[in-house]
Amino acid sequence: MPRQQPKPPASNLAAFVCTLAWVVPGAGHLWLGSRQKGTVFLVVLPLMYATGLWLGGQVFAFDLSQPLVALAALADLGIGAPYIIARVAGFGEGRVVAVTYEYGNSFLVVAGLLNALVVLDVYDIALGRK
Amino acid sequence: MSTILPLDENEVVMLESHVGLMLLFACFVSLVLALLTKDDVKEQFRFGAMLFAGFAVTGVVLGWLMFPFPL
Repeated sequence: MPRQQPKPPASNLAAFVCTLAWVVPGAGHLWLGSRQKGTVFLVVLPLMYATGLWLGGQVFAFDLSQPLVALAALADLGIGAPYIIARVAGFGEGRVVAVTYEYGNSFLVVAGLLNALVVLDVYDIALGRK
Repeated sequence: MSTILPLDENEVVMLESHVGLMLLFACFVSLVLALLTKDDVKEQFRFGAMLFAGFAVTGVVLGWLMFPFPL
């Protein structure tokens, strides 16, 4: 008779899916079997981030001498892999003179913050609270 | 200098529509928040539509309230 594998503790699963959800928006929901939500997040959040880049928004770097810039960078980082890709590829340098510069920043920051909410939602689902 | 711009003339015209960008932003945010807060598809549609309408109406009302003020 095959021995049952011990189930990983819920907190380990939660940590794993939260990391997954942060790195790839929507992947946490997909991993937990929520295909509808996962697919929408997977499409919408990177699209919102890409729109922010397209509008000339700036992907902020961490600069602790300017607290507001550091907070914006923290919010930008919330989107996960798209932030890292944008930084590495040199996108998101920002066009300060563009009419849409502040719009772009808003799209970038809010996309990151929305993904942070998505990570929290995944955490609740993984712990069985939802 | 950005590496993904400049844009051609048509794109610039589209991008300078403040209301259009506000509606696009409202659409993204409403969609994600509706999915996060509701589980039933009908409720998601209803809540998302209400959020979107709230964003749109508030944006237009605030725009009119700011109209008398100088830039």
